[in-house]
Amino acid sequence: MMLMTMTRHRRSIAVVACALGAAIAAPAASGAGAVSHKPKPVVKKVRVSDNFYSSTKVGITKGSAVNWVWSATNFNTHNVTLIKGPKGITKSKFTSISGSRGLHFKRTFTTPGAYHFECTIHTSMNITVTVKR
Amino acid sequence: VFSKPVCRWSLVVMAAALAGLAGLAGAQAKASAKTLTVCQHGCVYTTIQAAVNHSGRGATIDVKPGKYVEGVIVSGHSHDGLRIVGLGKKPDAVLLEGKNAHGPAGAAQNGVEGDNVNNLVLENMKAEHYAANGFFINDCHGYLMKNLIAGFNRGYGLFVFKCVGGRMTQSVGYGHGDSAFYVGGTPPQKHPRTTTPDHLLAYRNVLGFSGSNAKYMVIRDSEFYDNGAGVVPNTWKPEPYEPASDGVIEHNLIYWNNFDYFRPNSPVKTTNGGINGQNDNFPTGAGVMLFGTARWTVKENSIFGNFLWGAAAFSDPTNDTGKAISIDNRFVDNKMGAAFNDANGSDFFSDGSGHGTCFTGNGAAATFDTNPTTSDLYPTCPSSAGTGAVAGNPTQVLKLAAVALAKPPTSQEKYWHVHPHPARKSRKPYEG
Repeated sequence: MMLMTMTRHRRSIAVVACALGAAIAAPAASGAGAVSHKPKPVVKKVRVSDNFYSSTKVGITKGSAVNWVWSATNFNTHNVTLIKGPKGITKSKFTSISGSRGLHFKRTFTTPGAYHFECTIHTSMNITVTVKR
Repeated sequence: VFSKPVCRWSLVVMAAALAGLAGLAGAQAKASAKTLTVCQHGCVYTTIQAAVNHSGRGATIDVKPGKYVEGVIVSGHSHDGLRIVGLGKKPDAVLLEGKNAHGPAGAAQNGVEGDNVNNLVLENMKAEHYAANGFFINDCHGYLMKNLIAGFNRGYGLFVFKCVGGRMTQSVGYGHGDSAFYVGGTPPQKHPRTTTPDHLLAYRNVLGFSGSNAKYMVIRDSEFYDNGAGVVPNTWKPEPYEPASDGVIEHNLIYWNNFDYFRPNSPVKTTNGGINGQNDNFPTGAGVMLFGTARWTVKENSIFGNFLWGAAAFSDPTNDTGKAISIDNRFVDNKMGAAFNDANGSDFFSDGSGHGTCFTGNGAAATFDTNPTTSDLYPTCPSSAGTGAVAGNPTQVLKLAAVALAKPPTSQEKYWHVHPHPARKSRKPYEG
């Protein structure tokens, strides 16, 4: 009896929880007239200068992008090369050509994880892009 | 049972057959290597890049005379052994023009860039006005850069980085914001392959030759004049594989390197705060500078008419790795200023740091930038003299700092010993 009561009680809780969950989820799913909690994709800019990236750490959410822009005042040659990234990422797709100025390199990140980039010519230049879900 | 002679003959016949097969295979491999022709009108390929995209290992791209406004990128080992050859009578018949040239993500950066390509050959072309460099080869085993001209590219003329072995030869570089010729970031090797820059001509550049962390190199039979400084191997922390070590600079003409690119109307620009964005400047008026190097030998060169120093060796105390230290560098049997009636400010400068830097056979009239506090700055070879540390003799270090930190940078000219030079055929001294 006690067991039956508890079981019913649990079921009631489960039903209520499901209903609440559905109620919470519904507006996000419909999107009409409700506030979305999913962050909008952004593009973060990182300057590539002699001899540093303007940031050493960048945090973004999945679907956002980083745009590396070479400074007009550069004399040295730099690149952006993926040294280590999440499993399954093709490194060459996240590797720029080498240049001095008048160059940009934009990549959108769709796989969460940590991406470690380096200028292979000036290895003291490095940046980690952390992509969250 | 075969008799021994018959057996021997059989072996010979078999060996010959095998050799023939091997030869055939080689010939077939050679025959399968493509030759592609590029020209501006009437060819299948009208850009060098298009030909590169359709080439493969061991291919040859013949480029007919013309002006090619593009930045060529050769990437990956599927292009190993590729040859890009200008077909003109002179290198400038095939002109790679950087002005208004566009690449995949903005301005074209290099006339030709080779990334992860072994034994790439670039021959008989000219590249000018690129946002970065004229010709650039990065991360390779072996290369040949021959009969090239590079002018007024922003960084380097011929630029080689992180390569094992290779040769740049019979080439000219002028008007560069860093050096005409650069070979650096050489990976350490158990059995080193020598890199040979030879028969080069560099003038009116910030530096004639430079190489950060350059190793196993013989710079020979070249001419460096009218640059800010002539030949400058150096150890530099931001780039991999410190230090610069095990090099030879021999049989070169190194003179009149008194180009003050800091003057307001200089046709060549470098960063306002000095080279590489640092707040200090490489000294101008210097022939050879060994900057934090180990086991470099400067021998049998002609070094004259450089207003600050003919040749110098000093460490970099600002490098916190401690690897930019002068060790066992030698200056041997060079002909200095007096031999040409064209004095250097001082023939030699040493900061006395590290150990083993020595001087032998450079002529009885050789001059040394000395100071009264020490007598062992310029020992004969071999020697173990030196402070044993990156910090040199304090008086010498102060002299060096005064030049490197001069503000405005043009004021370092006050340390020059200026005088007229004896004339040289087809050469004009140029100070900016």
